Amino acid sequence: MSSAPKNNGTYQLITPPNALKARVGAGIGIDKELAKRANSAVENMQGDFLQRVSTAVGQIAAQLTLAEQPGNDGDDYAAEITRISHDLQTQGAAFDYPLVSDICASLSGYVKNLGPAERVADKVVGAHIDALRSVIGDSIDGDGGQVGQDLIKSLSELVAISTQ
Amino acid sequence: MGYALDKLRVLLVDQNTHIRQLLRTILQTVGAGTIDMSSDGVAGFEAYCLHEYDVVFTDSEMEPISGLDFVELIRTSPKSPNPYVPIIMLTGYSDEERVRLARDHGVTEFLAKPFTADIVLKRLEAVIENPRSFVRTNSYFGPDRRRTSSPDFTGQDRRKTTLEEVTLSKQDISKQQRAAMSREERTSDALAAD
Repeated sequence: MSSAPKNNGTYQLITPPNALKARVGAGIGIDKELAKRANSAVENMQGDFLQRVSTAVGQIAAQLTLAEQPGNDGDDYAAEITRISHDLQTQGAAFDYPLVSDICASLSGYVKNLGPAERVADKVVGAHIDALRSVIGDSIDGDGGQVGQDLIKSLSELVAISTQ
Repeated sequence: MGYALDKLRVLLVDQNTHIRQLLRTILQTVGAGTIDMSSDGVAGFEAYCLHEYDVVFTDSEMEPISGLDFVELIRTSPKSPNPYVPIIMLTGYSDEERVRLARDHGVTEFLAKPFTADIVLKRLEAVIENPRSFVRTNSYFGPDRRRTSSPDFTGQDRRKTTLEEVTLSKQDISKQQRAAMSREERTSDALAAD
């Protein structure tokens, strides 16, 4: 059955054909063996991730230095710190470094919630940089276990104190 | 036996090179036939108008147009060859307000960043196995935002408009695609004549 949709002010419920299902054939689900290989392929991409974290940490530190210089508009640098940390946050767990995501979520959350007259605090951003350097130095994958939990707890306490 | 994904054509739109590579690797490994990538919504929509895509993955935070604007172009632009394509939105922000906004722009499924290969593949299976009907009202066109339908519901939030059900065939979609292509050609000809 077929009819052209009309918009005459009524609420239309349109059911398009399931072209996607027709395209992928009669199989059921994604082949489990291929799905396993996809997970392994992602694991193989993890090697480069710590190098990217290292580069990003250098960029955050450079932005912090610029933000602290008199006459510079702190907002621009804060926005850049947010962008870099958010970028890493979105990749962390995908590359099996959820601790990196958690540290970056803490950093970008701190910078985003700064009041209009507030500037990024060297101490807070520095603590996040140190935390990321620990992950790189010790190759802490996964959530970092107890060490990771303690690290996140101390960062969140520091953020809470500095934004009071 | 699993899906035969070799005939699938997928469009990935994300500003982050690593996320694009990651998604491409996942989809290539499970056998997706053609994977095109764009780094922004403008280039993404240009690509979308040139080929017949089966699935679109897009980031939510992009420039010069946002992921939501990109989705809206696919759903409502007269140039769009297929406004019914499943769109999976990647987002680093999964708060309720943003999710509601994205649904109101016509997103089919969400993929919260950071994600794993298993989650990406689950979303792909979801759009294959559970296609959404589309709703057109005066203010919205996109997938039905209700996950479940209760025709017997008589409470105060019940839809007050008249329901018209429309079933499209493959030919209807092809006709729509041909019409969009021909509009595109006319526009190109007009521009060339200028």
